[in-house]
Order: sequence, then structure tokens, then C-alpha cells
Amino acid sequence: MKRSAIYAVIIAIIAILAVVSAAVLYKPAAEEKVVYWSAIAPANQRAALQTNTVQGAVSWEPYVSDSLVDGTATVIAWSNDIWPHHPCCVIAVKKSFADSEVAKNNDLVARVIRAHIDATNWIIETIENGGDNYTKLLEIGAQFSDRNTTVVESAIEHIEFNYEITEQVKKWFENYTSMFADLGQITSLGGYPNVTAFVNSIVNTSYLEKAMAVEPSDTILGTVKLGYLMGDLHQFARAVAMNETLWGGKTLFEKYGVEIQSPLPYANGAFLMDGFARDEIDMGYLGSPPALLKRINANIQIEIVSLVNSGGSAIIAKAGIASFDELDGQTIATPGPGSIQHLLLMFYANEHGYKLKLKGT
Amino acid sequence: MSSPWERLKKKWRKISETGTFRILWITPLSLAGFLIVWWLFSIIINRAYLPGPYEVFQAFVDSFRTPAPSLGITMGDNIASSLQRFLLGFVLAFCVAVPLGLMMGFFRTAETVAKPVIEVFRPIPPIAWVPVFLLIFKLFWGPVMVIFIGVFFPLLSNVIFGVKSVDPTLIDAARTLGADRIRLFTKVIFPSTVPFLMTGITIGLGIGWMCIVAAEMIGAVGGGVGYYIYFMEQLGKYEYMYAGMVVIAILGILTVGISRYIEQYLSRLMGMK
Repeated sequence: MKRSAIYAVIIAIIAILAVVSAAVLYKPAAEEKVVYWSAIAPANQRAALQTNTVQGAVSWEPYVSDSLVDGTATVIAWSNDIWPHHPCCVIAVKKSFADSEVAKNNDLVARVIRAHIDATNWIIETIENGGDNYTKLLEIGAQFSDRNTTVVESAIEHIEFNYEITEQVKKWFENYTSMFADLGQITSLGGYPNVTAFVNSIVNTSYLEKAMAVEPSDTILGTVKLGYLMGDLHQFARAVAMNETLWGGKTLFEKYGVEIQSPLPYANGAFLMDGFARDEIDMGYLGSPPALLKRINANIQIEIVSLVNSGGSAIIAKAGIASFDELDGQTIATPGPGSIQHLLLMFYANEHGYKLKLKGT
Repeated sequence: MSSPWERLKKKWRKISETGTFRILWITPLSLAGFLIVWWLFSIIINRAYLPGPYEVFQAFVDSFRTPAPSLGITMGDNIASSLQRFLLGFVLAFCVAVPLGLMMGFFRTAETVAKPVIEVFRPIPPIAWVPVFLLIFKLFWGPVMVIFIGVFFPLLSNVIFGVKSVDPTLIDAARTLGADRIRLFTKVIFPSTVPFLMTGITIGLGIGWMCIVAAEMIGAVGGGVGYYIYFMEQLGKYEYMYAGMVVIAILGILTVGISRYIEQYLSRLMGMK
């Protein structure tokens, strides 16, 4: 055999070995499954779905039902199915207001909460019993949210109206706080050694206990500036308590001796927390995440004194998309990374093996 | 030949005469005064929403090193995204406003037709277009179009004003020398409009940066400094929010500075200064 032929064979063998080795050793990186998010205000999400700007959305009521009732979207998962009984909206009070002994404001706080409890119980009973009150409930919801009663009816189906802050609720607040810490949205716990200590410092259940002993008052004992979110049906109890026709010609707050003054509704909980900082409001209905986040990051001294609702959010997708897997590589609208809905989406995506990334990154 | 010392003295005299020296020592003093007032206010008010200059500086540096929480991108990426949509919005506004302004200034019929529509839309602030543009132009082009609106009107107004401000003597002279309409336009009117156009660009650039937060509140594909500011406000991380505002200020100063430089260069080139 000629020397050149030997070289050729050796080179061929080396080449074949190299190719085989490369084929064996090279493992293509597992394709990362990604869904993208884009911050779009809940009020604009239905239109964004309709124009195919996004293919999915996560939001609260009535914005979820806005898209469901007219067939724009279908539900991928209700928040209660992902996180059973997860708390959402709460009532917060500014500490400096509640602690003011001179004005006996802590009594006023208990009275506001008593009105909230009565309104919540009325909603729960009305949904259970139906009848004329149910029609009235839908009308109040329609007026408050500027929707029709069909949307309101669809919305309340998945909201759990509640006021008690149980240990389970506090655990959820700890979970939210831990998630925000993991995401780097908070870098401290406001001087508290752990999330449990932080949550114990921000949650004050004493007003709920005091509220149970509150009696109606014939006179107005004081004024509370109460903030709330625009058309948010999680906060239905406030709208019910403010209705005069249900409670003998005065609001439920007035029945318990409190005059309510409210600024214009806030667009989201973060802006409502700014309202606390500006001394615009004494108490407010808002989502628990902005209360937790801005208490730590902005040192806005508030306490969570009552729960308002659990559940009532959902991940939805354009009509025709039946499963989360069909959203692979697509864009989902969220209210923003500081919301429960964003956390929920991130959790759900991870559960399904997807990474949630900002659109365009 | 003058000695180096004389040349230096001459240069120094020139600097003193032009007021550059005054600017050189007053500007840092003014900025230092501002920082001291800011620092004092932050101490007196002592609230999270008014951090001191040092906290903001730290956040500024950190924002370039550490990806923003949940966004997963650094300030550099945010700047790149903002610049991309800002430049697109600006170029679009330029391409529409300049020919339209020239036509409206030159042809009375064009002005009569376009003016009512322009006057209806001019007072509408760019932020009002945010939700509409999201739906019409979607996530990428929506914010671009908000910037377009911000830049478009000052640019258009200045171009129209520029055309109308052309010295009639020049027009008459050109006509007397036999210039037809096209030559009149290309040789007299357009060159005379350039300084006004540059002023429009400078104003438009400033307004364009003012629109960035509103523009990026929609979707904000790939983030953006405006979205960063909004997001940090929502989280209550105010020192980072102010860091974002400082970035916008720097970008604004840079772009407007470049525009002013070009404006002066063109003015000199055209013998107007």
C-alpha cells in the first residue's frame, strides 16, 4: 500500500471518529419554552386581544369577564384553580390616622370595617339566595363598574367575598413577599428579620375584632377619606356599603356613624398607596401586593386591617386558544410585575415548563 | 510671529469676551447649588419618595450593572430600546412634517386644506393617544407613534413659519432674475427655512423625550427608560425612578445639544451667523 493511501485512510478514520464523537457528545440545548409578557392596563386588555396585539391576558374582574362575555377570549385558568383561596384585595389604613387617639380614629376604623363586614355578608347571602336583592346587587355592580349586568354576573361567579384575615391569609402574604424578594422587587424587609415578622407587623386584626362590637349610630361621629380602585369588582363591598337605597336612605358607613369622603378612584393599588403618602386618604381598598411592596420600598406606613376578597383573577387567551401550550412564544398582557396577576402568570408558566420573559428581550 | 505666551493670552481674551469663561465657572456652581438644595430637601422632608443625590447616584450606577427586577434587563438595554423607538418616531415625524410644512407654507391651497385638521389635532396631548395607538399600531409601533405626535407639531409649525418668514425681497429678486417656482423653492425658500427647521427639530427633540414615559407605558417591547421610570414608581423604588429620570435628562441634553450644534454649523455654512 502506498504511503499516501495509508495517510488517507488514517485521516478518514480520524475524520469519521471526530464526526461520530461530535454526534455523540453534542447534545443540542433543550429548546427553552418561553411566553412573553407586556404590561397593558387591564382596561385595555380586551381591545389588545381583539386586535391581536397580545394573544393572552391576565387580569382581575370585571376585565376578565369583559373578554369572556363577548367571546373575545376563553379562560385558560382561574386564579382560584391555580392558587386556591389566595387573598387579593384588602383594606389598608394609614397608621398615623388609626393611631391618632385625639380624634378617636381607631373607633372610626372599626366602624368602617363593620360596614364592610355587613356589606360583604349581604353580598354573600344575596348571591346564595337570589331574588330581588340579587337583581339589585347586579345593578349596583353595573353602575360601579360601568358594565352591563351580564358582565357583573359573570365576574362575581369567581370572586370569593371575604373579610377575615386568617392564618392562611397571612401565609399567602408571606408567600407574596417572598416572591417579590426572589424577583428582586424588594431588597429588604423594612428592618424585620423574616417575612413572618414583616407580615405580622403589617397585618392588624384588632380592628376586625373591635368591629364586631360596633353598634349603629344615629349621629355622624367622624369622617374618613376612603380610597378605592376604579370599577374593581373585587371591591364590590364598598359599592354596596355606599348604596343608600339598601340601608334606609343612608350609606352603611353612615349607619355606623362615619361619613365617607372619597377622591376620584385610583387606577391601581400603587397609585392608591401614593394617595396615602400624600395624605389624600386615611383608608383604602387595594390589592395586597402594592400594599406590601410600597410599605417596604417606600416606607409608607399602613396596616392591612381587613380582607376584601380571594380569587377573582384569571389567565385568558384569545378565543380559539384552548391551552397554555398554544401560547408558546406568544405575548400575554399583564397589569405589571408588581401585581398578583403577574405573579400568578409567572407561577403558572413555570408550572407548565415555560419561562416568562419581557416582550422584546 | 507671536510667542506662545501671546497666543495663549489672545486665546484667553477671546474666551473671556465670548462669555465662555463665565459659563465654565457658573455652570458647575449652578449644578452644585442644585445638588445641595436637593440634598437639603431630602434631609428635611425625609421621605422615601425624595431620596438624596447620593442614593440616586448609587441607583444610577447600579441600574447599569444589575438587571431591573422582573424586567431582566439593564439600563443600557432600556436606553437602547428607548433610543430605537425615539429615533424611529423622530425620523417619521421629520419625513412627514417637513414636506407638509413646506407645502403648507408655500401653497396657500395646501394650507387651507390641511390647517383645520392640523388645528384640531395639535392641542391633543401625546399621552391622550397612548391607548388608541396601542390598539392601532400595537406594541412596537404604538410607542413610536406617540413620540411621532410629540415631535411632529413643533416641527411642522416651525417649517411653516420658516417658509412664511422668507424675505419678500429675496423672492422678488429671484423672480426678477427669472427663477421659476421650482427654482424659487429650491434656491430661496428651502434654504431660508433651514434655520427654522433646525429650531423645530431642537424643540421637537425636547418634547419627544418628554413623551417617552407616556409612550412606553404602552407595552414597551424590550423595555425602555420611560417604562423603567413608571415601573420603579409602581414598586416604590424611587431612587431608581429618579435614576431613570436622570438618564432621560442626559439623553435629552445630548440629543438637543447635537441638534443645536448642527443648527449653528448650518447657520454658519449658510452665512447666517
